[in-house]
Order: sequence, then structure tokens, then C-alpha cells
Amino acid sequence: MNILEVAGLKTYFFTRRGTVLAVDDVSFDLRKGEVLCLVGESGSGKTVSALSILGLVDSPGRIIGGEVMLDGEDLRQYTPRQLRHIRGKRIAMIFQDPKESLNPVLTIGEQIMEPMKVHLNLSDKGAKEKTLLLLERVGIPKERLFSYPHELSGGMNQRVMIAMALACDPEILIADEPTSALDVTTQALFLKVLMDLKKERGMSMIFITHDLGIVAEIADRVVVLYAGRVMEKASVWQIFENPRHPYTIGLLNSLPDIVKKKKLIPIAGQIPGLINPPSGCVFHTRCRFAQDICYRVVPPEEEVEDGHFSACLFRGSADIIKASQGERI
Amino acid sequence: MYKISRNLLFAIVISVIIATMALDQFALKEKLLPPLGYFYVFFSVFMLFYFVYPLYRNQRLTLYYWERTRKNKLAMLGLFFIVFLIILAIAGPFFTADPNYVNFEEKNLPPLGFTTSQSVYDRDTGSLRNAEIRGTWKHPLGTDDKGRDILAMIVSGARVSLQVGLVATFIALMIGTVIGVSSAYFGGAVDNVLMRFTDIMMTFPFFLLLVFIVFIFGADLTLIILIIGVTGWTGAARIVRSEALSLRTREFVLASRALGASDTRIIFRHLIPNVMGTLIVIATLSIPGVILAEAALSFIGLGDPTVASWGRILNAGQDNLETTWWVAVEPGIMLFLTVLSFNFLGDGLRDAFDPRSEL
Repeated sequence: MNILEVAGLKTYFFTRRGTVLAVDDVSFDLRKGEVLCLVGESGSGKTVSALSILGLVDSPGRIIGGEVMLDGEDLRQYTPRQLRHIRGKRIAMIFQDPKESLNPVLTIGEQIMEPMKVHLNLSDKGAKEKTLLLLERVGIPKERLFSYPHELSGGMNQRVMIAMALACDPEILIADEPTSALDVTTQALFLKVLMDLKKERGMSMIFITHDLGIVAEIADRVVVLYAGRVMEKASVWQIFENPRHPYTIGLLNSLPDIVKKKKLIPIAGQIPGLINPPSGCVFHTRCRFAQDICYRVVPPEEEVEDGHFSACLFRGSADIIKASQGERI
Repeated sequence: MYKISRNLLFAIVISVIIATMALDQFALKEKLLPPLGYFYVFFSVFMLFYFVYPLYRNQRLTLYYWERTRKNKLAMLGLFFIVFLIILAIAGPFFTADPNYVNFEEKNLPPLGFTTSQSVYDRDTGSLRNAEIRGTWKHPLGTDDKGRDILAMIVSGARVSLQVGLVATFIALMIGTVIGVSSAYFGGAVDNVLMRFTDIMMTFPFFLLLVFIVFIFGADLTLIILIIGVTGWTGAARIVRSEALSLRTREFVLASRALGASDTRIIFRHLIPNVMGTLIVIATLSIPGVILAEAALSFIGLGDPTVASWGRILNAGQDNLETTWWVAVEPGIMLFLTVLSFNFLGDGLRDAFDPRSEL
């Protein structure tokens, strides 16, 4: 069952130099209780997609099209006030840099209580009890209630962020690269706490990352984004075992492999400017399988196998199947 | 929910004060307090709720900044003098003579330890003669040409200066903060309108306006304080805006919005507490300017004639600088020390609050 459906989302930034097509016709859905990973390079539209769901895109950006259906209701039709009651209560979001995401002049206790004060009618005592419970659950000693963010480590701050996000028991948690600012050992602890809580509460989660290692570990399904468009959508197994888009294949080929000691094959070139994106398939400028038709036709997303969509005109061609099964695995 | 209960309590206290004031001004025969008095009551209550109480509540943070400020010797010297001045202004008038008591028998007395030679009228011979006059313990700082005690005048002048400095700055900062923060947070058209308005206020010659209004409505301390406050917020608005602009793009504001906080909540809970350090510094550094403005106004004779402001004593003393120099010099020294103290303290606080000096 889909708890969140994003269909045909278009978020453009109207700058002086031109219109940036940050998110262009992106569709995906989130099933109840699953972890959906949005994967892509910097500038591929992952964060903007997430902010668009919550209606947090600031000027000069504007959502110009598409639907965001939460339990069958279109959030885009909501008034700002109604939307505010969704944020933090039904859909919560945490961000990349834990130090930056917390207010330096408020204690972490005050900050965890803030969403409760906004959304729930709790007494002073009730809010404090709940905060202590949350702190304990994310593994922070309760004396830390009165600490300021600068007195905690990055990993602890990020766990405070989880506690804040979970304060009102949201159904959906959006995590925007929450591990990027943490070192690897802290990442592991953080992910464990996050996944445990997700299971415990039956939350659904959208996890934004560019780390395919984390994707392999936590994702149920994956959406691969490139230049503001969806390249491939599939379950995590299908993505890793049978990728059917040259971009996904390129991403996987650029991963190191301990067992085979193969050479890394980077994807040539850079992500294109989004003011004048390439015609046809946005990836054709860097695609080694590109043919004339790719310059002209925007490839539709089509199903390759059950629940596996690829936006490549040659998704079924022998070359791509060969590359997908190639040296990599 | 301590915050809501605090706001509620504040609202109740303020309504009580306003009700008392209305009753006092319109119904009672005997006035309890002049309008200005209510002003200070309001000011003190506000400071208690939103300044002293948070400082007390976040003791650790308060102590941290105190330790940092304490390292600055000059700032501590300034603070010491300001505390002395506040005590003087509050308690002093109960111990000194009436500053407006005129006594020609004791006019032009020099300060204690000084002697001057003056021509005095001799009752026995009925003619003028030269005599040595010494300072007396009764008037330690001497008297002016009408025999008024200068110590009493300085003490009551300290009260006036502090009232003007604190209350006018408080009004100016309230306006400046609200305008600066809203301008930065809402951006776009709101920002443009508010900042152009600030520009206009900035170029407006407010001292002239002050002179003009005093000329029309008569000199009244409350009026002077109000005008200085209502016109003096522009600098603060600019500084607060620039500070809030950089805060607005910080991720914690976005994070807070993503968790459902309203605009009002973000402004009052996230932006203003973060500019508080800057506000305290602006306040300390703009108090001397305001005190000087009032002194200047009194000096040119447009001050409130019913209060003994330092500027007014200075003005009275300047004509006889050669003979009775102390009349002008003593309030001058007080003015100088006060302004200097606030500046030292402001500098010290700025260093203590500056996050760049953290390392």
C-alpha cells in the first residue's frame, strides 16, 4: 500500500540567469513501512524533491506541477497552515549537518520539545517525560537534556535530530543525507538506531544519499535520479543485480570492489547545467550507449521486470544487458 | 509549557499596570505616579521577564559569558561605575538636598577643599568687600549662582540620564529588532519596503525634529525619551537585519520549519535569541549616544526645565567658567565618565559575545 505518491513533480528555480529545472517530472511512491532511497550525484534533485514534498521550497524556487498524495490527499492543495500541521506531525525531516541543524542557543531538551509544543497538547511534565524517553531510546544520557548542541559530538547531535523528528510519531521520515557529515563508525551506530526505531514504529522512510553502500544496507527500493529526472526505479536487489540504465550501471562500476580488485570506471563528464538541460535523454551527453535517437526523444519510464522501471530507450538491448551483467558482479 | 505561561503571566502583569495607570490618570485625585513612572514600571517588568529571567534560567550560559567579560579590566571598571551610577540614581535623591532649593546666602560656594576669592556683601558695613570663601561639608561639590547644591543636582541628573539612556534605547531596540528581523526573515517586498523606510528615517535630521517638537509641545522628559526612542532605531534595525539574514539561511531554521514551526515561532524562538548577544552590545554602545543627545538638548536650553539634567547644569555653568568653574566641570566629568563606562562595557561585551574570538 502506498502511503505517499509523488507524481509528475516539477520544481523549477526562476533565477536571473534562467530557469533551473531542478526537479523535472519526477514520480515515485513510498509504500507503508519501507525504506525508499533517493540516489544521485550532487545537483540531481534529491533534496529539492524532498523539500517539495513538504512544500518547503523557497523563492526563487517554485513547484509548478505534479501531485504529492499523502494517504490519498494532495498536499499541494493544502493551505500553508494545513501544511504546517503535516510537517513534523505526519512527515518529519532531518538534515545533513547535525551541528547546523540545531539552534546553538537552545538546549537539546528545549529543541526536542519544540515539535511537541507545536503539534501536541502536552503538559509540561508530559513533554519532558516523552523527551527523556526519546533521548534514552536514541542512546543519549538523560543529563544531556540541558546541554547545548556545541557540547555534544556530531553523532550525538544527529541522534538528537532523530529524537526531534520522532517527537510527534510521524508516519514518514525523510532523511536528507543524514550520515554524510559523520565518520564511518558513527554512521554505523546512527543507522542502527535509525533502522531500529523505524522498525519499532512501523514508519516509512525516504532516505537520501549518494552512498551506495548505505543503499545496499538499508533500502527496500531505490530511485536513481540524474539531472532532476528519474533514471531508474527498482527494488534494491534489482538495482544491484540487474541495473537497466546506463547511468546506474556507471554508478555501480565506479564503486570499489574488495574481492575482485577491478579497476574503477568513472562516468565521464559532469552533470549538465540545468538551465539548458540536454535535449532528449538528459544523460546522453555522458552515455556510452547513446545513439542519435537519444538526442531527440525523452525516454519514458517503462517496466523491465516486475516493479523495475528504467527510463532508457535501450533498456532491453543486448549491449546494456551485457554491461549490466558485466565484469562488475 | 513554561514559555506560554510566562507570556501569559507577563500579559496579566502588564494589563494590571495599564489598568492602574488608566485609573490613576483619569479617576484618582492624587496621582500615584507621573506617566513617565509607568513607563519605567513597564520597562522594568519587561526586562525582568525577558532578560533577567532567561539569564537566570540559563545560568551556565550566563556564567560562561560573565567569565569572558570579566577578563576585560576596562569593561569591569565600566560596569563598576555603571552599577555605582544606578545605585546613586535610585538611592541618592533620598539622602541629598532638594536640587531645586534656591538659597542666595550660599551661592557660588566652591567644592570641598577649594577656596575662591569673591566680593561679598557685608551686612555690617553695607558695602562690598573681597573675601576668601571655602568649600563646606554642607555642599561638598559646591553650589551654583543661585545657591543650589550641585551634588543634589548631579544625583538627580544621574537619574535623568539613566532614564533617558535605558528607556529610549529600549524603545529603539524593540522597534529596530522587530523591523530588522522581519525584514530579513520575510525578504522580498517586505524587506524592500522596511529597509527603504529605514533609509528615510536614517537621513531624516532627527535632532531637528526633536527641537521642533519640543518647541511646539514644550519640553517634557517623557516626550523627549519617546522621540529619541522612536527615531533612534535605524542603526539597530540595519545590524539586526544583516545578522538575521545570515541566520535565516542556516539549516536549523529550515529544520525547524520542516518540523512545523510557524513564522512567528521561528522569529521569536530561533532568530531573536540568536541576535540577543548583538542586541546587548548595540544597547550598551548606543546608551551613551542617547545620554549625550539629551544632554545636548538640555545644553541648548530645550531640555525639560523641571528636571536637573546634567546638560542643564552644564549650560548654567558655562557663562561663569572663569570664576565658578566647578558648576560646569563637575557634571561634565560625570557625563564623560558615564559615556566612557558604557563604551568600555560595550566593547568588553562585544568581545565576549563574538563567536570569532571563541578559539
